Amino acid sequence: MIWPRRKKLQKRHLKGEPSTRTEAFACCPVKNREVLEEEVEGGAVVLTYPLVIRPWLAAVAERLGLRSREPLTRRLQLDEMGSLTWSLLDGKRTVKDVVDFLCRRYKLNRREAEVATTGFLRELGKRGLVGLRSPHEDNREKST
Amino acid sequence: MNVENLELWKRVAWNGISMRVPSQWEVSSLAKSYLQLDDGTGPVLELKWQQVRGVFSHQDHLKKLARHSKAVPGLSFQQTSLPEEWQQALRHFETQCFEWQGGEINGKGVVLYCPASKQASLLQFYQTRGIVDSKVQLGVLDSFRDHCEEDMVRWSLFGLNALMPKSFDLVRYRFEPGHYQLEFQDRRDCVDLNRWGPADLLLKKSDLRHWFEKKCKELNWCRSTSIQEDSYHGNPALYGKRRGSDSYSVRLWAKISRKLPNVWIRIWHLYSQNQIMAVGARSLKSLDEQLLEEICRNYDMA
Repeated sequence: MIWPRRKKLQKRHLKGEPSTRTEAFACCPVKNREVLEEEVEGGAVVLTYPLVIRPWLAAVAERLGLRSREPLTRRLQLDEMGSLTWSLLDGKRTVKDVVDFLCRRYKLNRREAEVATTGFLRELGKRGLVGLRSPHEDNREKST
Repeated sequence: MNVENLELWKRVAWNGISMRVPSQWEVSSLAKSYLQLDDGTGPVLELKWQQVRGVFSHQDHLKKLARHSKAVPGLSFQQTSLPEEWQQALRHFETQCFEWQGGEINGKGVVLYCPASKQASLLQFYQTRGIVDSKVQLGVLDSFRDHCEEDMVRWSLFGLNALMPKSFDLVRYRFEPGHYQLEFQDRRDCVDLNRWGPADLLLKKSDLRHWFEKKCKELNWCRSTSIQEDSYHGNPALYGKRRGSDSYSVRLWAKISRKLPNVWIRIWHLYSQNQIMAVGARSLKSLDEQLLEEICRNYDMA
């Protein structure tokens, strides 16, 4: 008897995910609308965002009576460069535009600015504070 | 690619090897004896090099490469003769060329052996979708040097330029956004090259001295040194040195505690590049200040 081979799950190339570096840099970082931002002393930005709990953990917490009715939030204080980068995310600028701006503003080596920006966006993405909109989506929106 | 503007190309020099590459090429992966460069769209050049003890055989290395290539499905590997246009550029080396094809990406490379330095190097150019810029390849090979004949060895990477004495070996390095560090050692002498940036952000709330005292954790070993404010080539700077006793007991204690008694440091704010540069040295014996001054003079950012 021949068992059907299980298809390997591919992590990459999910629908709409940029597959090349050029595509990734052409994407526009978009802020999560649920994130509240406030400016504190010295111009630093503090972000308040809703905390997403895994459903099984939430269920356990509810059974044990540990979960309050109020939505849980977290605060994240950005440093100066992070605050500036956050302020540049207007939904129109691409990742490449942000990198170009930081290169000019701080006289950074291009690769250094790329690593800093992509690392920062990745961290924000993990927390669900930003998403990436691909240029194809922009074109589709314009055509409709 | 504009090959005519060869003077616009930048130098990449790392751990003894050096070459000129188009300005848009940047290092994407590195180790002590390995470099990969990409042009923003993907890898374009890969280099490996190693000192050879005994007799070097091109055939052995190519057999190894062929064996590795067999493990990759759909990859074909073959030895080729050295292209005519490469012969002049690689005249100082013993050479053996190879090519491989695999899907959309092809590769063309050469194994080099320099009898003078007894060093073997492997260079391979990646060619995507059949696009071959042979003039660029030739330009890179023409400028490739696998060893340095001067007493001072050049280090050029990510905009950082330095000249270090040949006797100093690279021990540690890090290239992180905001901080670059290269640590060299020659027996019991250690020299650190540091670069922090952007300086206007780091020094926004304090001056160089306060920043160094509070934030600069990378140079903890020189904390006990009396640091004084100074000027270096018109830039605000800090300078400090500590001279330990040469007595046997002090040297023995230094060996046990691993705290080297002689310390020298210079930190300066490089206004033109918005960076903070630092050269620090530690040693069991008294330090060669002239040499350290020369290292500082040749240490900058492009």
